[in-house]
Amino acid sequence: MSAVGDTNAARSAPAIRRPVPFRAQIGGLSRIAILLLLVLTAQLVTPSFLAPANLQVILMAVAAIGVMAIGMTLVVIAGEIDLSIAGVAILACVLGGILIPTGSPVLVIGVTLLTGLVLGLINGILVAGLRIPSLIATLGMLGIARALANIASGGQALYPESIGPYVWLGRGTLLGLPVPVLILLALTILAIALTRFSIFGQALYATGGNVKAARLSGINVAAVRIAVFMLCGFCAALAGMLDSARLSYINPSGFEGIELSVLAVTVLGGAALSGGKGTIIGTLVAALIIGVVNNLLNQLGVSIYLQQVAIAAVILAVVLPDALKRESGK
Amino acid sequence: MSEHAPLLEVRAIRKAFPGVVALTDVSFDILPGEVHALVGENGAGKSTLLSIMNGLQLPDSGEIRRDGQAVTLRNPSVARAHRIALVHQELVLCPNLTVAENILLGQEPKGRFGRTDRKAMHREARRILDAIHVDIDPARSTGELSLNEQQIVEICRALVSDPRVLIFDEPTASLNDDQVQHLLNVIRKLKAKGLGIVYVSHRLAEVFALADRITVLRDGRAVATLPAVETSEAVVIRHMVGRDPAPNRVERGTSGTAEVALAVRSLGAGKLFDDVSFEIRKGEILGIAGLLGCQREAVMRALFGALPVDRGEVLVGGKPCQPRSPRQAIARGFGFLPADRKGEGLVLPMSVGDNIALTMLWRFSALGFLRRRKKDGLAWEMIRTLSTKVASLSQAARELSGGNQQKLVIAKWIARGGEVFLIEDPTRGVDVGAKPQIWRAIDELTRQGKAVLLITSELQELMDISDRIIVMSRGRVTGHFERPEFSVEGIARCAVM
Ligand SMILES: Nc1ncnc2c1ncn2[C@@H]1O[C@H](COP(=O)(O)OP(=O)(O)OP(=O)(O)O)[C@@H](O)[C@H]1O
Ligand SMILES: [Mg+2]
Repeated sequence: MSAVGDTNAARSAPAIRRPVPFRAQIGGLSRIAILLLLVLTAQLVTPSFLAPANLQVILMAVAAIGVMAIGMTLVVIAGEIDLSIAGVAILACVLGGILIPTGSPVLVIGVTLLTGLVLGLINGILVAGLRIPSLIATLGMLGIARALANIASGGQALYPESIGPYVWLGRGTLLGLPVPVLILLALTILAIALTRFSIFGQALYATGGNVKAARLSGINVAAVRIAVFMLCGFCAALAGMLDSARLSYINPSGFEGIELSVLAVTVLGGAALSGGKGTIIGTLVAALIIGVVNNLLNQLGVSIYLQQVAIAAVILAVVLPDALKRESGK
Repeated sequence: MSEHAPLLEVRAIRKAFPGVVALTDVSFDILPGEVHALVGENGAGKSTLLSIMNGLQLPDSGEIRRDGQAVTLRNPSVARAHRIALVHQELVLCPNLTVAENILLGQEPKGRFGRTDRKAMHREARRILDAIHVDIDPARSTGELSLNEQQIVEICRALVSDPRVLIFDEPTASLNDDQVQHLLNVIRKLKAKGLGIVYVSHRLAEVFALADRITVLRDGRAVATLPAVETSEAVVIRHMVGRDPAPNRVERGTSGTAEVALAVRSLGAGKLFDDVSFEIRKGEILGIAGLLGCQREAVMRALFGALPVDRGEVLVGGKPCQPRSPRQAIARGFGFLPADRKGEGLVLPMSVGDNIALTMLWRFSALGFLRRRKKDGLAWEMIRTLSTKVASLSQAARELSGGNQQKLVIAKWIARGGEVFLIEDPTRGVDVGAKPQIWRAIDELTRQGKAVLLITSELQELMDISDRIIVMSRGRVTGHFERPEFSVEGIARCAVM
């Protein structure tokens, strides 16, 4: 009789634990371990690796793609995909850039970010309202936004030097840290708050994990979808601006193929394209992993093509064990 | 029978998951031409044992012998090669494929040039469906089948590889009474052919009708193996729960007040159903009886805004109400507990606690932030009320046993509250000990003045708990019974009208 009582212990002990699945923690830890291992290796191979100057280089290189990947992670958790980020980034920067002659930083920066939000809203309406699969809707948006950016700029690059605060976003420092890095950090914290500590986060994971059950539970899945596309559009525009500011140069045909790198980071970070899975921390760590590998190979003078092979290998090495575990577990 | 060597034997099996030991030192065997039933409470380890016998999971330790030879069932295709097949507890069909394609998935007959021979495929599917006397068109898309029909397709799928050992995990959980009889006959035929059959079910009547031996699992241990003829339901239940079982009957505390909670008038939706009218008073349970295809499920979905309505009117508390989405329906006080817990009830990758909170996120909001403590407190309360077996609140819903997932669906709606509850098969896959708990929880709702519209697959259950029953047949209401008039014959007559 008492044997029955024993197993009831789990039920009656109201231990309040953080609702993170056990495996997700392990997965996150293994990524951090890989990152530390890489850093250690890099330090052994090139002794100047951990020098503050080099760390700054790495972080700067990661900032824009990290910002984009945070937006993409939200979309992927919701079970969707956004292939339009390059187009959104460019069109937003060009529309903002057209206003450079006004000399108003508020206008230039505001229009850039607003354009990102609006294009994201359009993506969201296409997907959630008109039920167009996000792959198709955002692919269409990519093409259209790129074309519009070229039309609007006449194919000419734009130069934001005259707008001080704009340039500061890409090149300035605050508290001894580069502004883009600080922006990435701030965004990470906001996104973690959103996914882990807000009720929106619950709705987000539910929508991605099982749309039907989420809808039948009364969750406004259309609103969730529209919101993630808007946030992703915003992140794309912001990242575009950080890069343009850093280069002092808005390139109407830039960011070619960036969506694939961003998706790679997102998946490397543990998000599943099937939805309902993924963490902001995972994505950030993944972006750092890529940054460290790239930096190391650069220092070693490895050709860009071999670097791409190396990155692909790292992604496979991290993602494969997860995939295999899932395969054998189910 | 006993002179035969076992077809399949497992010895001293142990299997642990993070936080739970699912099986400890379990031994079990199946003789040719016998039905060996496996029973136990929710989470006792039945499905885990079956998936080990079918190669879906590897045991931590222990031995598996097939015809006396030790084997390692690394994956289901190895098991299939050893002619062991499993009928899943949960439906794992591809909704976008046809019935024939699903039945023969991965084992399609090949025509010339290795192409799938569609004609042969349909013939083969037809043959298997005929063998168990089921009339489903192999060319139909699986997505449009009812849950019941899908279950049948699932069974056909296991029969394709011509197994010697056939394992059933709650095959009748979603079947109507007449279909259960059908299935039991099929199983008896298979048994007569000398197959060894492992049968898991929470319906003990069925177990006793079918089984030669019954093994009881409790908390991951095999506590007894009994010849069916020498034992009784009471003994089996005592072994299952480890004490004397709680009384099974639920005393209805109320049979409704005079006030009408929900009035449905001449409701119709496309070709699905037409002219459906009924009323439910506050505190009343109205059951809908009917056979497969009577569209009672569609009526529920329509009321919940999950299916468009084009005729008729719905009044909640006297006010007209035409919800066009589940969100709107919930705002008007509806709650919907779907039977398909995996597909519609739960978000499987999310944690137990998060699933419970899903229906009422706003309640845990402080300026949009999640009040985790409050949420977890409520989740624990619900879990305890329904004695759900979970390792922790952060355990993924996917990892719960079938019956415990069912309890979770109920928990999340009871916690949410509402005025009218639309409840589909709430005890599907729930063990005998826990069923009264669920009925009591539903009874408690009515004591608080809520109205309940109920569908069950077992007519007897519906008659036990409902205050009134309406009968549907082919999308129309064909009968109406007050509690004193309840009779299986009367209801069955209306159901075929
Ligand atoms: N993949 C898993 N990860 C963690 N725990 C699991 C997993 N699968 C099963 N369990 C746990 O193992 C125990 C036994 O589960 P099992 O599914 O075998 O129960 P069952 O007897 O089939 O119950 P039911 O009658 O409800 O279907 C449960 O406590 C369950 O939560
Ligand atoms: Mg089970």
